[in-house]
Amino acid sequence: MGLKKIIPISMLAAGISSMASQIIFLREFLVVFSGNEISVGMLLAAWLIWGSAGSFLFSKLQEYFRSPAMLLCGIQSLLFPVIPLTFFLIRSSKGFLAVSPGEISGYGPMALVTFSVLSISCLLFGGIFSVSCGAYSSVSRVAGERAITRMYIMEALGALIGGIGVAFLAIRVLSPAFMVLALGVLNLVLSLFVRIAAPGRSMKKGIVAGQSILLFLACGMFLFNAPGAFDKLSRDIMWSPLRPAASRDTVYGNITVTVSGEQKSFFVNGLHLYSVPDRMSAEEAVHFVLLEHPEPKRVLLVGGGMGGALAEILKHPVEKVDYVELDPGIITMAGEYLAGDALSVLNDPRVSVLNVDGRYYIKRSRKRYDCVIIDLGDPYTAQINRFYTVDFFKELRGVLAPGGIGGFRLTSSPNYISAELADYLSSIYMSLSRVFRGIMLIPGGTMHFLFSEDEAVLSPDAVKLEERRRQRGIDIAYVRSYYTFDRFSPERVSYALEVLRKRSAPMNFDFRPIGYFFATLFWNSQTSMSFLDYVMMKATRGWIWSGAAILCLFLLFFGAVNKGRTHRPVLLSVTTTGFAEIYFQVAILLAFQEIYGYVFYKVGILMASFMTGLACGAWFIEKKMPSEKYIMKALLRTQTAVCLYPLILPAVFFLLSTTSSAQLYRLGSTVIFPVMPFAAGFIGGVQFPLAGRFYFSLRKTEGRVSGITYGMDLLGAATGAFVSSALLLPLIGVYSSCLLVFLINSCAFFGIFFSIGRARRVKSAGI
Amino acid sequence: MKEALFYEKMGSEHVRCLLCPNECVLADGQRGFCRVREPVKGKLYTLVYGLACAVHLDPIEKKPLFHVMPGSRAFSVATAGCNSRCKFCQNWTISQKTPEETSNRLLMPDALVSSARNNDCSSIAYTYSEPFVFYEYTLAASETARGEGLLNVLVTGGKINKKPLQKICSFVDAANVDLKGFDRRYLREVCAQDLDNILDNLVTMRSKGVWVELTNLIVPTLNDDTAKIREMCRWVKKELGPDVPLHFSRFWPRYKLRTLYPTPPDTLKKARKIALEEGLHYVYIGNVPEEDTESTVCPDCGNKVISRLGYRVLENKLRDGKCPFCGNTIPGIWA
Repeated sequence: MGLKKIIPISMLAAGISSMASQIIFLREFLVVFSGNEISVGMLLAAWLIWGSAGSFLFSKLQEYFRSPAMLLCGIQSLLFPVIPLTFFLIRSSKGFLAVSPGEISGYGPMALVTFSVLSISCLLFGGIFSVSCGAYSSVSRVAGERAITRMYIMEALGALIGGIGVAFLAIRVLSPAFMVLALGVLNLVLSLFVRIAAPGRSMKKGIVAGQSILLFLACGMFLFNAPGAFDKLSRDIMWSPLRPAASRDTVYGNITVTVSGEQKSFFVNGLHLYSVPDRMSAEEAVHFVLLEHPEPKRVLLVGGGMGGALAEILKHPVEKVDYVELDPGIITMAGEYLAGDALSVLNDPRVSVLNVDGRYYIKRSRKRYDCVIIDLGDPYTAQINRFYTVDFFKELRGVLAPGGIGGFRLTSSPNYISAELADYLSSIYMSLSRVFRGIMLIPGGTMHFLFSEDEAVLSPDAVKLEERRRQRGIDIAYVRSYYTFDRFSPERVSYALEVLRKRSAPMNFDFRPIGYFFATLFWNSQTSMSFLDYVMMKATRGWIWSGAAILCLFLLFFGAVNKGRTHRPVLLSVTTTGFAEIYFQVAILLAFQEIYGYVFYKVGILMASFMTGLACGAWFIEKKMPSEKYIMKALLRTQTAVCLYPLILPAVFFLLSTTSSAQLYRLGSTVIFPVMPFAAGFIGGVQFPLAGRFYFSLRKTEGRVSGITYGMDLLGAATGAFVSSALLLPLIGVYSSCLLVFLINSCAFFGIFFSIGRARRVKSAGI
Repeated sequence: MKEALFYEKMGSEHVRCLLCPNECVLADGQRGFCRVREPVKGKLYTLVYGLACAVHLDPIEKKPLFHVMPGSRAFSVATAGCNSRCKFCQNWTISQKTPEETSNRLLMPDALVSSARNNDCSSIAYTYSEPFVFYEYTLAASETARGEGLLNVLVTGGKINKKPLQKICSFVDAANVDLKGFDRRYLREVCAQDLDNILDNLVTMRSKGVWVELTNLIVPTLNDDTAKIREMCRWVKKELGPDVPLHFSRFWPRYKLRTLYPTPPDTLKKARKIALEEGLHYVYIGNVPEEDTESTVCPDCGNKVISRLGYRVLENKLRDGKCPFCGNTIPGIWA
C-alpha cells in the first residue's frame, strides 16, 4: 500500500486517537477535580489552544523537512508513549494540586495542571493534521485545498468513531488504562506503516526494525496484563491515601468504592456520594418528608436508594416505593459491595427499581405520589441541575397527589449563610416558590427543602413529628425531637428564610441554568478566589451585552475595514463559525434535555449527527468546489447560513416545547433533533474547505494553510466551549445567547460582504 | 474599630501583633493572618469589635459542653476571621472570611449581654469562628456578662499567646478547646496550628481555673492513628487530669476536605475505648444517639448520673454536683 492510501487511513486513526483520548482524559480530570464541570471547559480550552498551536507549529516545521511523511511518522511514534504518559500524569496530578490528601483545588492550580499536562499530546494531535495535509498533497498530486478537505473528512469520521466508540461502547468493557495503551499502540502501528511506505532513506531499515521490535514488545505487554497493572498503579496514586476497593467507569461517570471496616463509601466522579451505613444521612433524607405527611402510601425516590434511604422509607407503612437511580451502575456496584439489609431492600415486594432517567420518568409518568424524595446532591453539574429548575418543579407538581410532599437537600452552612451560598440557595428557593405555595426550610449543615401545593400541610413541629413516629412505631435515631427542637428553632428558620428571600437570586430554568452557575461559584468560594471567579461574580446580563457590543464593533472594524487584506474577513468567519458551532451543540443538548427529559444515550446520537454533518459538508464541497473567482461568494453563502441558523434554532425549540400535537412532539425526538446538529455540522463542514481554498489562492503552502485555518477554527471553538457553558447559557439563557451568536457572526458576514463589494469596485475601476 | 490590646511598634513603619503565635508583622493597611486586624498610622486595630455576623440561641450541649449547666441555653456569637486554617472547618463561611465579606450587625458588649439575658440564656458562648481573634470584644463582653451573673464560655481552637490568654482567663468560666490531633505535622499542614502552643494553653487554662472540655475531630486517614490517640489521652490525663471531658467527633466531607469519607462509627468507638483504657473519666462521642455515648457515668460507682440524647438532657440526677449513688464529686459547673 502506498502513502496515498496510508495517509488518509492514518488521519482517520488520528481522529480516533484524538477524540478517544479527549474523552478518556476528560473523565479522569473530572475525578481529579471532584466533578467540577468547569474542568470540562478548561480541558476543551487547553485541548483546542494546544491543538491550534500544534497545527501552526508543525505547519512551520514541515518546511524544514524534505519529506512531510517522515515528520508524520515521528509524531505518531511519539504518541505511542505520550498518550499513556499523559493519562498517568492526569491520575497522579492530585499530588501536585493539594497540600493535604483529600483536599480540593482552586482554579489556578486546576488550570496550570490541565494546560501543562495536556501540552505535549495536544501539540502532537494538532500537528498531525497539518503535516498529513502536506504529506498527502505531495504524494497524491491532489490540489492543496482538496488534500485539506480529504484530511478534514477523515478526521471528522475518525472523531465520530472514536467518540461514539469510547463514550458509549468501549467504556463498558475496557478499562481506561487499557484504552490509552491501545491508542498508543495504534499510533505506533501507523507510524510503522507510514515509515515503510515513505520514500527510501539509508536509515530506513534500522528504524523499521527498531519500531517493529517495539511494537512486538508493546503487544506482548497486553498478554501479561500490563494494562491491569497500569490501571491499578495509577488509580492507587490517584486515590491515595484512600485505597479503592473497586473503581468502575460507566457511561455516566466514574464510581469508586472504598471499604473501611464495616463502612463502605461510594464516590461518584471523585466526590463522596454516600457511606453505608450512615444512619444520620439516610434518615434525614427520608423522615423529614415522610413524617410531615400524615399518611404516606406511595413514594417516589430519585437517587440515594442504596445509601440507606430505601431502607428508611420501608420503615413507614408504605404500599409502593418507586426508585429511580441516575446511574444504574450504582445499584450494580452496591449489589457487589453491600450485604444484608442494605441490599435486601431491593427484593422487598413494595419496591420497584425503574431503570430510566428520573427527569424523563417524572415528565411522562401518570402516577401520583404522596411523597417524592430527590436525593441527588448539589447541582454542581448541568446533569444534576436539571432536577432543580422551575421547569422540573412544574413536572414534579404533576406527579404529587393532593396534599403530597416533595423534598430535597442541599449543602449549606450551619451558622452563617455567606453571600455565595445565599445566591445559590436563594436561586433554588425562588425557583421552588414559583411553583409551590408551601415551602418549609430546615436549616443546618445541609438545608432541607420540603414543599407542597398545599400550604397547610407543612409545619416544623418537633412534637408532631415525634407523635407520628410513635404512631407508626418506627425506630429512628436522628430525626428525633432531641435534634429537631434545635433544627426547627424559629430563630434559625427565620434567619434562613430572611437571607434567602432578601437575596432574591434569579430563578433556575432549563433554558437558563443559573443554578449550577451559583453552585459552582459557591464551590469555588471554598478555595481561594481566582480571576475566573472574579469574572463570574461580576458578570451580569448587562455586562455580557456590553461586552458583546464592544466585541462586535471590534470584529466589524477588523473584518470590514481591512484595506484590501481579504484574508481578514475569511479568518474572522472561520473563527466565529468555530465559536457558533460549539455553541449550537451545547444549546441543542440543553434543549433536548428540557423538551424530552434527557435520555443520556441520545447525546451519542446528537454528537454523531454533528460529526456526520461535518464530514458530509466537507465531502459535498470537495465535489462542488467553486473556482477561485467565486470562493468569496460561496463563503458569503455559508456565513449567511451560520447567521440564520441561530435564528431558526430558538423557533424550533419554542415550537417543540409548546406543541400540543403528540405527532409533532414525537417527530421532534426522532427526526428534527437529530437533523439539527447534522445541519450545523454540514454548514461548518462546507465552510472550512472553502476557507482553505481561499488561502490556497493566496499561494500559501498546504501545511501553512491548514495550520492557519484549523488553528483559528479551534480557537473559536475553544472560546465558544468555555464562554457558552460558563457564562452565556447560565446568565442570559438559550434564546438570548442565540441572538448573541447571530450578532457576532453577522460581523463576519459584513466583513465578507464588503470585501466582495470592494473587489468588484476595484475590478470595475479596471485595475 | 477599636485599638487592639496586644501589639508592639517596630520602628516607624511596622507593628507586631502579639495576640497569637503567628505574631504577624504588619505595615499600615496590611491585614493580619486572622483577617480582622490591621494597623492604621502605626496603631493596630481590631476590625470586628461588636461586629457580630452569626448570632444564635444554642443548647449548651451543642458546643459541646457537657459539664456546664446541663440543659441550659447559650447565647452564641461570632465575628468573621480565624487564626487557624482547618481544611475541614464547618464554619468556613465566617472563619475564612474578612469582616468586609460577611454581613454583620452591630452588637456592642452591653447589647450582647442584655440580649442574652432577655433570651433566658445562662451563658454567652463566643463560638463558631475563633473567639481569640475577636479578643477585645470577647474580653469586654465577658467582663460585663460576669457582672450580670452570666457565664462566659469559649469554643476555641486554643491558638493564642500566653499573656493575652492569662488576662482573659480571669473572666472565662468554661471553654471547649479543639485539640484537633496530636501529630505536629498534621496540625501544621491541615490546621495551621502549633501543637506545643495549644498544649501549653490548655495547661494555662486549667491552672487559671477555667473549666476545660476537649473536642477531638477524627479525620479518616489523616489523624485516625490509634497510637497517636493513645498518646494524646496519656498527655491529657497527665497534664490536665482524668476529669477533663473528652469529646470525639465525626468528620464529614466539607470545605476543602471533600474527597474523604465520613469517620466510620467504629473508629470513634475505638478511640473512646482507648481513652477509657488510659484512665480518662468522661469520654463522649458526639451525635451517635443509637449508642449511649453521650451520658455522664460516675467513674466511681459506674451509675449513669446525667442521661443525654442528642442535644437534650433527659435526666440529671446530680445533687450539688455529687453522684446520688456514691456521693462522688462529678466536676463541672452545675449551678
